[in-house]
Amino acid sequence: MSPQTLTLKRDEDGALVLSVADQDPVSNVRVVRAAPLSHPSRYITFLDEKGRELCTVDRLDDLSSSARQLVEEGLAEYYLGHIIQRINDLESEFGIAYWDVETPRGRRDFVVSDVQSSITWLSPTRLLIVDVDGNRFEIPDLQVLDPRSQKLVEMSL
Amino acid sequence: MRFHDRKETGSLMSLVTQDTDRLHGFLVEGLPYLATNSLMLLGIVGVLLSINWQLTLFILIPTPALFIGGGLFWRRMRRLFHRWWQRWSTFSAELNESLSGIRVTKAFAQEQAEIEKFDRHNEELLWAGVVADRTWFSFFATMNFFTSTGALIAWLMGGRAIIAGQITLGTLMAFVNYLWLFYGPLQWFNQVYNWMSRAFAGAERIFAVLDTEPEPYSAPHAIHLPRIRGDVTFDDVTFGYDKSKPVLKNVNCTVKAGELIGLVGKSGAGKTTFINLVCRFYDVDRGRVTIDSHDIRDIRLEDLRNQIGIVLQEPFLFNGTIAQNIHYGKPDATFAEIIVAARAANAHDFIVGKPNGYDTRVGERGTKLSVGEKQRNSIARAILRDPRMLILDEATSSVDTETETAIQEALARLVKGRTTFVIAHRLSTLRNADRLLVIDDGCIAEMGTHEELMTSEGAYRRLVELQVALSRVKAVGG
Repeated sequence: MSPQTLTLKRDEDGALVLSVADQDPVSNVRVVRAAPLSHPSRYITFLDEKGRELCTVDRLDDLSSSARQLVEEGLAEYYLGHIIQRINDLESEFGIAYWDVETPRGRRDFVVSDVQSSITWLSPTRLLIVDVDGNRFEIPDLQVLDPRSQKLVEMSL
Repeated sequence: MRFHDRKETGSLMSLVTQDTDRLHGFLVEGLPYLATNSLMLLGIVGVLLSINWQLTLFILIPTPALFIGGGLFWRRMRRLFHRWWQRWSTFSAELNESLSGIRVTKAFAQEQAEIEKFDRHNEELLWAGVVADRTWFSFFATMNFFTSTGALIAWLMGGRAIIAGQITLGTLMAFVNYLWLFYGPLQWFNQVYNWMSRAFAGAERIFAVLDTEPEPYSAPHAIHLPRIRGDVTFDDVTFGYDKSKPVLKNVNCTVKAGELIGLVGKSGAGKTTFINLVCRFYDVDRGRVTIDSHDIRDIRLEDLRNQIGIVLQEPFLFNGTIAQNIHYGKPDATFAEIIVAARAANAHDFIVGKPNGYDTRVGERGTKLSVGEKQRNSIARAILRDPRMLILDEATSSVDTETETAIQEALARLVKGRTTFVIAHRLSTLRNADRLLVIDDGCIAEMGTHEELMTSEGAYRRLVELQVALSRVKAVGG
């Protein structure tokens, strides 16, 4: 399948509709990254409403500009996350961590269990946290946080 | 494999973490201290001799007793530390087993029994440590007493010498001050026996493992066979995990490259043992197994194992991401190849459906995936390896029907053109096998296709009829 034969548009409800070459269009398509942490801009997979793969595109750049824009919007919706600007409090007990943070959308508190699988260092200073409900929180640069927030992270992780 | 069959996991972990740490500590810290304290001792003795050689000889009287006592004590301490280590090894092994089997413990409400078992081993470990340390402190106190008598002798003989006008008070004071510098390193030598006993006991165990001949191993004349066809022959093979109790007896069979062979038989018949010999996890006791007419013992072990893919009933995943576990089959594979393998294993859909896709961490032993997901991950790993031979050991017995269908589809792609050995208790899954080997009490009772074996009234037909009859039995509790 050539990525250039892939057509993407939104229907009247805003759901994505995918057409590949001369095949029938498929609606309610979901766009996901096959490896969102290790290969965030590659291996973009299109899934039908039952979660079955329709096709996979190697690189975002291979898509037409209109398709790419819709894909990026779809990915942003699916991987919606919060950027942590400050950590008000961070307590751990019996392997469960309770976070109280400030984000651009306001104050948030969330719970993280199993540090090993819920917290990923994307770089020495960039952190991705997934809470028990699957919500994503990111610290893009730990060194930019205030000293108290940095200390809380270092003590807990 | 025999080595790992004999050794407990906890015991090996204790050896790798604790014993190496002790030996490391002794070599890095102990040896330099040994050298500096020895030099210090010699230097101080030289100074003492230059001040007053007669007095020096008096205070050196207890010194031989220290070294003789230390030498005798050393042997006893090594035995005690060895016993302590055995207790620790048992304790670690039991703890490892308890934690691994925690689900079974909770399912059978045996928490109290496990706690009592832990307490028992803990108590034994404690007392082994108490006895070792008590013996050590007795020795240490005794040796310190002897070294201190040297100081008393110095004061006694020194005092007499002052009275006799042979030395001055100042000389005696200088002598006594240097004496304490002498006793410091000497007391350290008392303590070093403890350190050395533990380190040498650990070193013994470490070298016992390092010196173990790996079995099986690649003989020096082993041939390099980077690509096998997959013709397998068992030539009068006899084998037993205990040589006096053979599990397979005089087994003869020939499998052509690309054949799909079903191994059938009751539990304990020898099916898994047959597979273990094909993979050369063990060497035969008599006869030989050949691949492409080469005795399996004459093929480089790495070449052989690189061309065998295994999918087990209980797939084992390492604590990493899904991608890393599939990647384990072929370390130099690209990510695109990993996706292709996952697709062929009917695993790609469930993987990309997870929030982190292929970067999803599977947890220790893959606990964060279902059995069906682990199994398909395991199949993807085997597909990526592109092996010439495949071993499927009850690969679908632990999953539901829908998952089994997905796995069977994946396996159908996997086995094409590869010599495959399949063990399955559900005989219906072996209908498409090229041939079936019926193993009974370590021997091949029958060999043939499903149709051929059904026409002869042998063990296979009886097994099939039994399974058909059981499938008509009412549901549990009905």
